[in-house]
Amino acid sequence: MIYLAVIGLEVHTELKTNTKIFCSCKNEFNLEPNINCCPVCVGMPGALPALNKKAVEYAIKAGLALNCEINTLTRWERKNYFYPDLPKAYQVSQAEAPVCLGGYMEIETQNGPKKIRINHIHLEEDAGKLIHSEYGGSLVDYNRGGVPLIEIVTEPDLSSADETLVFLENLRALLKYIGVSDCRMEQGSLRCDVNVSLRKEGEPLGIRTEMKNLASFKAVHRAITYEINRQTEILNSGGEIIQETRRWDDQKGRSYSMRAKEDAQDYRYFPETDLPPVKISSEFVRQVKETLPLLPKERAQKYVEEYNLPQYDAQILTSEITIADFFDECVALFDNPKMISNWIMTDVMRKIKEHQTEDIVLPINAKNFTKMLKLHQDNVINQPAAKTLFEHMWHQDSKTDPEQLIQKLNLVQISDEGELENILKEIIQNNPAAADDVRGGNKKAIAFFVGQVMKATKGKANPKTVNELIQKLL
Amino acid sequence: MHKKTLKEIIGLLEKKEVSSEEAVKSCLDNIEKNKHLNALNYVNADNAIKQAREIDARRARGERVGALAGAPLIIKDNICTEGIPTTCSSKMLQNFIPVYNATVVEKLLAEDAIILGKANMDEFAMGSSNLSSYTGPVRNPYNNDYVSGGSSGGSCASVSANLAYAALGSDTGGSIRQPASFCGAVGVKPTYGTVSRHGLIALSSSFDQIGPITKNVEDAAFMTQIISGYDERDNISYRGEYPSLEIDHEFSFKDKKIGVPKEFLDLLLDQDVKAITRKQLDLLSDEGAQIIEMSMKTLEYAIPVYYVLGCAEAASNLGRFDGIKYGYRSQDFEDLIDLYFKSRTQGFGKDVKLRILVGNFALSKGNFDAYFKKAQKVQTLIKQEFDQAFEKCDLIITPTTPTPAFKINLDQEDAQSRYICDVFTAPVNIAGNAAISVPAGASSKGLPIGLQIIAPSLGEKLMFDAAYAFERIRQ
Amino acid sequence: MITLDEIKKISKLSRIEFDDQELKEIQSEFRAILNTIDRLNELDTEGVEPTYRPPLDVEELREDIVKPSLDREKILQNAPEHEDGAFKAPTIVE
Ligand SMILES: [Mg+2]
Ligand SMILES: [Zn+2]
Repeated sequence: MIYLAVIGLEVHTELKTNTKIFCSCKNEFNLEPNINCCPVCVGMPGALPALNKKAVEYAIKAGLALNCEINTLTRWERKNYFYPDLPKAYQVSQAEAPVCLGGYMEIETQNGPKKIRINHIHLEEDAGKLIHSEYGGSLVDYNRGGVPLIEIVTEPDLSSADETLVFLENLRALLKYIGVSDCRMEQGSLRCDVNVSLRKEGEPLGIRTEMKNLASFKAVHRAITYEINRQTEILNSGGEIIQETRRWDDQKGRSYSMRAKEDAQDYRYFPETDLPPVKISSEFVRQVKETLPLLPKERAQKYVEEYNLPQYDAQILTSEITIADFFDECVALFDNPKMISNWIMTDVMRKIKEHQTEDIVLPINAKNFTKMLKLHQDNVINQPAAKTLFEHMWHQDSKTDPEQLIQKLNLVQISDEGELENILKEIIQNNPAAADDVRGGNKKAIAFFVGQVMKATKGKANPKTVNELIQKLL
Repeated sequence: MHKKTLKEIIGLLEKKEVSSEEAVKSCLDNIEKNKHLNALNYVNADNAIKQAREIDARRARGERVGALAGAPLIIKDNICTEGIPTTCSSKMLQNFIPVYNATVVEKLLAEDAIILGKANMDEFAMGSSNLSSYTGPVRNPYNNDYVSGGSSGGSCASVSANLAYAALGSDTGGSIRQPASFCGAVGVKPTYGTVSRHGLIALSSSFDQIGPITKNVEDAAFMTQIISGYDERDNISYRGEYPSLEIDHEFSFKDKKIGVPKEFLDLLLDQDVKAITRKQLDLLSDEGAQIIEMSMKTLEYAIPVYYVLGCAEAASNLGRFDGIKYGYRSQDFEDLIDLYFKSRTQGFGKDVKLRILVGNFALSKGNFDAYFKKAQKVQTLIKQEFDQAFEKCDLIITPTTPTPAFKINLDQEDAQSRYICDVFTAPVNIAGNAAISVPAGASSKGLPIGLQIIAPSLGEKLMFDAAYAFERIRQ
Repeated sequence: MITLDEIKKISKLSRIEFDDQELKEIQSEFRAILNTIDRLNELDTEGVEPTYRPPLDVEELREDIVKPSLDREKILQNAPEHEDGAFKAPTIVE
């Protein structure tokens, strides 16, 4: 029996604010436990929350980028449960009136563009972290406690593991684009729970399971594939799916039912009266809108129109804000968008892929990168030398001026006719037969001499000059 | 000397007729003599004397000192005092020493007040008798067989027995006014949001309000002024103007409209309370006040609303006491869950546990709409009823409590009788406006009886003027 | 009428336990309280809005400016057990 997969996501993203959501402690990833803590974020008796304006602003920003409606009045609820990483035994979150409602993100699928609907985006506080003690027991660190999170809840509009991955990649790029989050999965600043159910064509939704502990996009993909198979097998053998939360074990490549705690589901949500509801005026929303950068689609369009780049190239360049920003910086310094684009599309992207990290880090800066391009354009260095220089700049030295580097690395193109003539003469002497072939009109033989000159000059000879000399001497 | 009022002692200190050290020592002596009252959980003796000497020295050097300079005060034991134990009269917090000061404490210290001690209270402020305290009941200074009331029993008994010149308490359903009434002190519940709750160990966040307990109305207004004000650390904090609470000594009840909820007078009242309330209303009438008996039908639902919302919030607020970060941790546990159960079961008293259960009942799946949401809606009705009443009158007057203080050893103490203590006070917390309890007379057994003057939200000025005038007329 | 089983369920949710004797006492007190709070049903609240705090304007919220945190010593000062700068709890079994 063929089933259709129905997938929905709850994506938690830590916001890149300076301070935590309810106190003025620094919001930073820190390995030293309980350094960024105060009575509020450790839940000390008597401490009260004071809401961070920036957190609300960032939630609105995310909402606008995801085509959401912004609630004019947003309210807070407490979600009650006991766990050591939750110092107050409740998480301040939003249920009835979240910051953003509705919305969607369009993704490309095999069957063309598809709108994945967003149910809502709400703000909440992150929990602390548990560390295993080498002496037994668990250690509790509240540095992360109270870091602002947005939870983006989608409608169950995704229908495969692949599609989910595309959605997540797009979402991550978008959130980084608008600057609200670093979206670092390995540091936990992006986390995702997945709901999966199956249904037959034309039939209502089946029972869903929720999967937790998905630490990477790869894990998300594997877990969904696993869950679809697991549910398919159960249904095919006449069984029933149990609504439950499952924990993904990435090492073992399978998920486990989390021990059902009787009261685990009764969070006793109720209004958080320590925080008043917050009015969001249309004027404030308008101001936030103004801080939004051009989103990837609009930016790609701009590249096509202004720089005459192919649609495909424009799309690649704008897929990650780090790259798009780098491109813009380069164009501002060196007026050859096509050349910049070509280099980024090939060499830069290749390097990025080689060192795949979650965050794109460019070890080169636009100033030196464009200087290198200019040296190449002006024939100071040839193509192979430019590639060598690029490698060197990327891996070893991105700070030194390329002009000095080419001296140091001895990469300057030899265009001096006298010097090249002497080299060529010697080669001709040693290869009389090939010389005759050239004289006889054999084009292949010309390439042989060019190659020999390049070899002798370690690739620095100006190919144009060499060609002219061959014509002249033979 | 300890019998002086706050303003009187401040006057003497200013004129250097008395030193702060003398004032503190006089109170300390009196604390020693009144140990049997069990009013204090902690006496900050050494620090208080040291601080008093410092203030005396500063004054001697002619340096500027604060408005409360050198005056020893008592703080309820649910208000965080840095470095001074704050236990909420619970086994759960027996060894708890806060690492920060509540905003109100900061404000008192900024005025150079001296924190003399921490007052006994009902455990986590849950109760109206001070019988639920882990450190035992507070005895009524007027008759030691009787309760002090609660939950700010220790604060009120302290003021009444002259252990200090004023005290801070907290009022969630009547916890300042009711014990003030039982102990013959003046007790104020300011408008919700006008005194920062930062540092007050929460019972029910929607209703908790810190307020002063003093020997007379003028001191009450003075203290209220000092502890009030916007606080960025409390998002509920009132952001508007805070008017001067300086007493208008010329205030007259002439043409003032005083509302009296008919239903309250009809309630089965203690004969003494009834008689005194009648007598005082007649007195006000003689002064030219217009007494308007009005029907306020929803007020009797304040107790159920208070129970549902108050317990629900308390259940959530007390979740943090889990034996991990601070507070009591049971010594014999098998695992984390067991640690939670044992620490909470052993650390909390019976009344606290019962309220947590009631709260979680009202919040749990299937009950939320029927109980919590319903109570929130009735809260709206109660607020509306007050709003409408204040269109017809300037102030509302009721007895503070339906009976004077009851005996500590109640033969049969059913839940119901203890809950009715708050029947006149809780509606004010539900609506969020201001009220004051002023001594109004004594029962046939010589126990104090208080009168409650309720003002509209932010109506403190009028409330204090009227209370002051009433106090003067009575004398 | 609240049953003993219901009370047990809620006490579990509350992380509090009672022996059988206590449970019976709690039940009778609970019933008394329920009698009181069930009186709310005497009032018609059709169309009545629940009470919420008066809202704040988003502009009135705290600015995103870092202030010093508390010394870790103080953070841990009241902890029943701590180790390596962290609060210590028994091992958490998932
Ligand atoms: Mg969440
Ligand atoms: Zn903090």
